[in-house]
Amino acid sequence: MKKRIILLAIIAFIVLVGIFTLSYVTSHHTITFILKGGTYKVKIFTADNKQLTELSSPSGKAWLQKGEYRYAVSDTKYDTSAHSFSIDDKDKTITIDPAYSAQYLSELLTDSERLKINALLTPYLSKINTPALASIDRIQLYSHGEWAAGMLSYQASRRDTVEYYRFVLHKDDNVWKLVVPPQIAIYGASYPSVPVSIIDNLYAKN
Amino acid sequence: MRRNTILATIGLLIATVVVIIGASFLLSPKPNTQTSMTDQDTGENFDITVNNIKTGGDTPEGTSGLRVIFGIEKFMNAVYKDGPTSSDFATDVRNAIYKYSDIRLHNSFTSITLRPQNLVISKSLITGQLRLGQSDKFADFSVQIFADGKSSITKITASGQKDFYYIGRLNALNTTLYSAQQDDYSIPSVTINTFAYREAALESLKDLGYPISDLNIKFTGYTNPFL
Repeated sequence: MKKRIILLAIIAFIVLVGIFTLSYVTSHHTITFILKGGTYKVKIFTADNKQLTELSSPSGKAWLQKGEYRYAVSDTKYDTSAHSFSIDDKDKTITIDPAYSAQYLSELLTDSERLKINALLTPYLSKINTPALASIDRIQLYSHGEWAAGMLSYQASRRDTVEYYRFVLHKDDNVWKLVVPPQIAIYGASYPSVPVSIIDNLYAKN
Repeated sequence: MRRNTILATIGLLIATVVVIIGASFLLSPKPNTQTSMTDQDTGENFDITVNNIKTGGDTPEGTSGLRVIFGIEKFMNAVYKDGPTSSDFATDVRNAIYKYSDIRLHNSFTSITLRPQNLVISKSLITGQLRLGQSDKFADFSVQIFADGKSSITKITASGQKDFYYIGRLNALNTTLYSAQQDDYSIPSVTINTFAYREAALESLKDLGYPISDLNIKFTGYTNPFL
C-alpha cells in the first residue's frame, strides 16, 4: 500500500512537471530577426529593459515568451534608439532596417553633396526679388542618406520677419531630386512618399 | 504511517503547484507600462480601439474622483465656455469619426449617434459611446479637449489609424497678429489669416498639439515667392 502511494505521488509529480514543461514550451515562440542594411548587432530587452540576448546581422533567432519586448541596434553607425515589439501566440519574423545615426549622416553630408543640393535650389532663389536676403539653412540627411531636407530662410525686405521655406529631396540612382519644393507649411498627405518624420523635423525647434 | 504518507503526498502536490505558479509568474515578461483602453464592438467585423492619449490643455492633472458623467448639454456648458450648442459637438464628432475611422464602419452603418448617457469626462479627456446606425451595436470613442483660454480643440484617436487631429472651434484662435480657421470640421484643412506672421501662427498650432504635416494649411492673401 505504501509503495502504491509513493508511486502515485511520483506519477502526480511527473504529470505536474510535464504540464509545467508543456505550458512553458508552448508559451514561447521562435522569433526570427532579419537585420537588413549592413553589419551590426541588435540587443533584445524585456519591456523593463533587462537584456535577453544579442543578435548579429544578417539574421538571428530568439525564443521568447508572449509579451512586450524592445530591441535596439548597438552600433554607433546606426540609430540606437529602442523600438517596441510584441509577441503573440505564434512564431514571428521581424525585419530590422535601422536608419543611420545623426552623426554618421552628418559625415555623409559632404561639401560635394551640399553643392549638389544647393544647385537644385538655385532656380528657386532666382525667382525672388531679394535673393540677398535668402539663405539655405539646416540641410540634414535622413534614413540611409537617401533623403535630405532643409529650409530657405527668407525676408521679403529687411523690415519683414524671417520666414522658413522647407524643402525635401530624395536621391534616386545617386542623383538628388527635389520632391517637396520650398514652402512654409508642408501638408504630409500631399507628399505620401515622404516620411512624415522628416517633415515634422523641419518644424522642430532648434 | 499511512496517514503521514498521504499528507506528505498532498503537501508535495501543493508545493509543486505553488512552485509552478510562482515560476510562471516570475518567468512571464512584465507587461509594458504604457496603458491603453481597448474596446471592441459587439460582434460585427470591425473594432474601434480608443488609445489612451495624452491629456493636455489647461486642466490640471486630475484623479479618478474627478471623473464625472454628464449629459451632452451639461458637458458643453462645462467645457465650452463660449457655449456652442450640443448638436454642434455631436455633429463635429460624428463627421470626424466618419472621416477618419475604419472604412468598414462606413460600409456597415450609414449613421452613428452619440450616446449622451455614456459620455465621460476625465480632465480634458472625454470618452463616450456611439450607437451604430439603428442597430443595438455600440462603439467607444474618445475626444480630447485642449482649452488654452484662446481656443478649444478636439483630438480623436480611432482604431488602427494614425492619430489624427481634429480641430473644432479653431476660429477662437484669434490674436492681434493672426487668426486660424477650420472651415470644414470633417477635414484637417486650416486657413490662416495674417499679414506677415505665418511662422508665428504655425508655432501656435504646434503649441496646441498639431503637427504641421497633419494640416492642409492655406494662408489668405499670400503667394509663395519661390513658386
